Amino acid sequence: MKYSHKVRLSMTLAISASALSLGLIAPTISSASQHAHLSGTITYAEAPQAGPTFIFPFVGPSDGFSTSNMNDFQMMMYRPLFWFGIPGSAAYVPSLSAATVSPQTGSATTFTIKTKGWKFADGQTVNANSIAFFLNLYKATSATHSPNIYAGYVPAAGVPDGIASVTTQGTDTVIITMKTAVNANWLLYNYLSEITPMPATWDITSSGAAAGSGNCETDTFGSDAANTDCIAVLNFLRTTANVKSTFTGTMWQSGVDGPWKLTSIDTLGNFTMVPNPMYSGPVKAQVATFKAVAFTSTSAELTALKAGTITSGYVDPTNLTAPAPAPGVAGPNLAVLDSKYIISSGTTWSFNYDLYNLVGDPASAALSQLYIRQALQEATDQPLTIKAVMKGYGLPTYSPLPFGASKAISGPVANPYPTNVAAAKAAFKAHGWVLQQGIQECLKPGNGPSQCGAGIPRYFRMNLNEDQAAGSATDNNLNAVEVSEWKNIGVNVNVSQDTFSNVLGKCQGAKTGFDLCDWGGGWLYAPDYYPSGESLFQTGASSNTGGYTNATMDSLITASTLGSATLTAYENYAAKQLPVFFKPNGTGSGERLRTLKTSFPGGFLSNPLANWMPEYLHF
Amino acid sequence: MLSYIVRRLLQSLFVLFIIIFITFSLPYVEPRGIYAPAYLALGPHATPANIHLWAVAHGVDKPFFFRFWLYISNVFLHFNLGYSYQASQPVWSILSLYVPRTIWLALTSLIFTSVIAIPLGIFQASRRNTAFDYSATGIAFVLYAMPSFLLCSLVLEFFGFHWPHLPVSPPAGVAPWLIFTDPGAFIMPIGCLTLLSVAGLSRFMRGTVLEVLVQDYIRTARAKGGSSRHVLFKHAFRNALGPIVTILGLSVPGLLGGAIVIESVFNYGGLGYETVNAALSGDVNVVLGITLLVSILTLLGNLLADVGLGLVNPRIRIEGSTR
Amino acid sequence: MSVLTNSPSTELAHAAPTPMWRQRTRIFFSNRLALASVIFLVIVAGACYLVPLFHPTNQTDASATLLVPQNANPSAAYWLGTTSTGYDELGRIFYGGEYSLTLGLLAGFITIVVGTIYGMIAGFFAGLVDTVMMRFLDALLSIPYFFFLITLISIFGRSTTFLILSIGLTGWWGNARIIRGDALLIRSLEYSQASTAMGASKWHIIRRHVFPNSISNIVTVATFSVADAILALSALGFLGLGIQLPQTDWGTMLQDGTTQLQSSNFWWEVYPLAAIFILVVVSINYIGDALRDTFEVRLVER
Repeated sequence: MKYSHKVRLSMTLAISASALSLGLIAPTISSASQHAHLSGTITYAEAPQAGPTFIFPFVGPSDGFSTSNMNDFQMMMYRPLFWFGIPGSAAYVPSLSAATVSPQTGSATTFTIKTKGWKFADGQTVNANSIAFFLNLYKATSATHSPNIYAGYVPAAGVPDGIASVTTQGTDTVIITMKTAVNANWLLYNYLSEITPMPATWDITSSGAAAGSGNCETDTFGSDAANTDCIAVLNFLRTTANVKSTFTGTMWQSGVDGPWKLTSIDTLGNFTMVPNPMYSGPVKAQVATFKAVAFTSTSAELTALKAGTITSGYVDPTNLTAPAPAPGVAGPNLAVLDSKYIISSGTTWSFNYDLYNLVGDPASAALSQLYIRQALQEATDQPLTIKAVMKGYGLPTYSPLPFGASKAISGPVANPYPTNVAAAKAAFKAHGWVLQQGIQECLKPGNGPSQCGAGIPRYFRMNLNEDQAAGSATDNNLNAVEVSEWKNIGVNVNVSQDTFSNVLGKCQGAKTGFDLCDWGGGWLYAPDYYPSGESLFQTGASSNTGGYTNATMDSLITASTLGSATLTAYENYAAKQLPVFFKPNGTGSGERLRTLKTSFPGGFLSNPLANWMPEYLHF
Repeated sequence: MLSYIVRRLLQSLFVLFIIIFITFSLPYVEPRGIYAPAYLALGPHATPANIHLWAVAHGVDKPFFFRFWLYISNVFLHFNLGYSYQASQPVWSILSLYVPRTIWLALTSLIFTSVIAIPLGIFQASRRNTAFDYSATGIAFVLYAMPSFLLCSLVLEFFGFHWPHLPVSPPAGVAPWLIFTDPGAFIMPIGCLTLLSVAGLSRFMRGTVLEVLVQDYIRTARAKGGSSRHVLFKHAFRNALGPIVTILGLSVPGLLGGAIVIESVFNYGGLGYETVNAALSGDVNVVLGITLLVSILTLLGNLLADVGLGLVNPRIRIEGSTR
Repeated sequence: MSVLTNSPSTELAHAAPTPMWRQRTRIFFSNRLALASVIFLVIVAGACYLVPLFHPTNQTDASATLLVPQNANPSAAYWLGTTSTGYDELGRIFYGGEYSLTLGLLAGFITIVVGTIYGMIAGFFAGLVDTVMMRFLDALLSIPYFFFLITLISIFGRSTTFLILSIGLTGWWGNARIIRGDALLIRSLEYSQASTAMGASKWHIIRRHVFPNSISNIVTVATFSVADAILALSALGFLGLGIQLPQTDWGTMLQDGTTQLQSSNFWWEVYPLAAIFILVVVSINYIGDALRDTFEVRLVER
């Protein structure tokens, strides 16, 4: 086995499904009485070295901010107010959400959220206060600079900093007024999506106190009283939020409003859930027990699959003995599992890329030239790489738009730069570069149309340094292929591999000492689901650590996040501008490739946001 | 003797201090090394503000010596090993989970190893250059030369899936006594760990006994007409005991190294696997906690070995007491 | 190779009269298995370093492997089939061998040089010097060295140079302890004490008594160190911390091969290399054993 980096929100997705081959399953909605004779057990393999750690859904930066903890554990019990993710794309799913929101299109300042009257496990209703509770807590941590703020917090934008006021209307409606007009989809996908309704039984500051006695849910949003009360409540809740022996206790389980509730969990990360009889949403669990089993390695997972002891687990594409029959079509391509499992793959709500460092030395000056970025892009053959390295389980990437986005978000994006090695070489030649010992050397410095470009000195050679995170075998092969493809056009890239965290620390923290950077997995649009560019490519944005800056890009981003524009113009401009190097997105960047026992006729449900959603599985 | 032990204990404390210092300062070698776990926790979406908040929450933003002093005082005054960045748990709770699991695994296999390897080595030495010696040496050489993961994977593949279909992994659960309630599931993991260490110990045993056999007093004992079995066990074994004690005392870290492979191949979460995991993800407090614990165990082993050696060979004790 | 077989003898030449040296060489080579081990190592090393020069295969251009069949059976074109990533398996064994053997030799060399110097100084001077040095060594020895190695690599990355340095600088602790124990023991033996009593200088005693009498252990430990360094590198390969693609080493290859073995019977990706790997390490260890027997004067005389 290999110890790859931990599975994190940023980089990976756990469940996958064959959206393309199997389609969306529409299970019969079971009535509550059916729970009495549910039978069977689903046993899922957790991603290696990644079990649940933290139960409180208001996850801080130093808690379990990961898909394994949030999507695969918390969200089975504590449903976010708005549900995203099926079918196949990360679209907003009104029917699975506990509330409605309006408006959903265009640009607006006032948003009305109306709850549907779902129930918590203790019989209380999910109401306006349940939402205000979360928002007040969020605001309080932001206002007091608490180190336990929600980990997805982005300063000065959206929720909570962009909110002018929150008012409740009746018991079921919350009205959020923003300081400025914002794009409705942007707010819904990026910020309202973070809200998890929380019960009054959590609004306490000591064990056994009366529900709501903490006053956090009833104080006025942003008031000093709210800030003080909410921090006190937060501090109390955090004392047991990581103590696994309390997870199955009354307090934590009283806040369950999802289809599953927790019955046991151990310190290794194994846990068991059963259907929540009080769940009032549409899709109810159809088996008696859900078990998640901790694993130490992917090879141990494959061993368990071969032995048939688990219902579903991950396989790495390197283990597949043949490519998928056709793009998007699931196996069989692993003989030892064929009789027991189907292998299936889905899409991820992400795009994969290498970061360019565009500020600083001559190499950065070279990478700042669009013709060079275009040559690097044209040198790579994404379809062939996907077939050979990813065994067909991958998606070519030509823009920051994730696969399967609905038209409401963005129109189609064409690939402006298909594979063309000859054109890539010709571009260098046309700008005054000559191959020396197999490496491009600039002989015509200067800013003219047939010269190398600004900041590139004479005799500068295309020797670049890339920092790469060592990942799965597939990841490593993908990177090796990419580097040798660049070498074919005379661009020599020296790779130094390191751990995921060290690579990110260097590329995002220190921001120097590299020309290209690949932390493995690119950008997952979660928990901010909207595939917009304000944190990626806007000048000075927090994750724009390569220093990309372009006035047109900035205005397109602003139009799509604050104005009423969809993302079509922005995505197409990014595809042409290549602010980063786009590379195949697939199984290598996470657990997309999953197996499922053939005894489940319905097969998988596609969810690109990594939620397990075992309530859709039935024998 | 007592003053010797006391002095060794004091020295061991100093050694512990050095260990903590080395491990504690390692992440500082890389410019942003101590922040690396923050990126693991927050991913590419991390904003500088959130990285800062993470650092504040874990006290990482404080100066090195302040943190070091805080850590030392927490460890020695409050037995508080700090907090894991990754698991959102105190390090103690992680240790109390994994240590018993690995100790049972390692201890069981250490017993099997000793029971097999020590007699094997003695017999090989006494029947030096016979067919038995050659074949045992050959097998030991191959086992010793085989990468542990290769051995484990092959064992798993053949005995788990071809014949005789042994259980491929211990049952999922945290209880350290699973090894007693479901011994069948541990045949492969313990068997592998034993195979891995038998080679080294039997070879060592053979060499040691051989060396003792050529000592003058053995020759004297033989010349005096002692039976060869009597000489072998009375004199040779007793005199070889010292080095064996030393090697067993030093074998704690080695057993943990072997456990890394066993634990990942057979899906048995334990100390070795957790250490690698923590080291690769920069979870310094966990690495420190485990290093400290293993170091204490090893130092105790060393101390026992040295005391044992002092009893066996008075000349070394004199040397020691003049220090 | 020369490190393994020649240098101990030449070192010994300073310490012992020539007839002894000849006698020992003869004894060593009269051990047929030892001779076979030396020959085997020469063949393997020769193949790894030389065959790629005469019969080059693509081992570095990953883009070219996209069009090569993966996991192909052994055939006329690919004598040992292809790997899961489409490299020629036989060529890759040689290619990986270059890295494993070179890294093993260099790292093993570092461990023995550092270990010997450290152990000799501590063991011979004894007293306060020994106490301080040994306490420091105790500190290092009680850290599980493989964990320490992983921590180092996770912090500093894994360039070839750093792999050699980190394996070398974490592998000498045990050596130093053995050498020091030897020096201490020899120093306490009657003839050393007699020499001291007769007024011999410390260096004289080291040169005439301690070093010659430790040489068997130094040489033995040196060969074992090389084998251990090769094994340590392979263990890193298991953790995915070996040499990075497109370069490779035997450990990484074996790890990839066993992964493939899990899903299908691609025997050529594991067993040929496993056999070579094991035989190489066995040979080195056997040479170490044979050298020890050779130097073990008392055994020789018997």
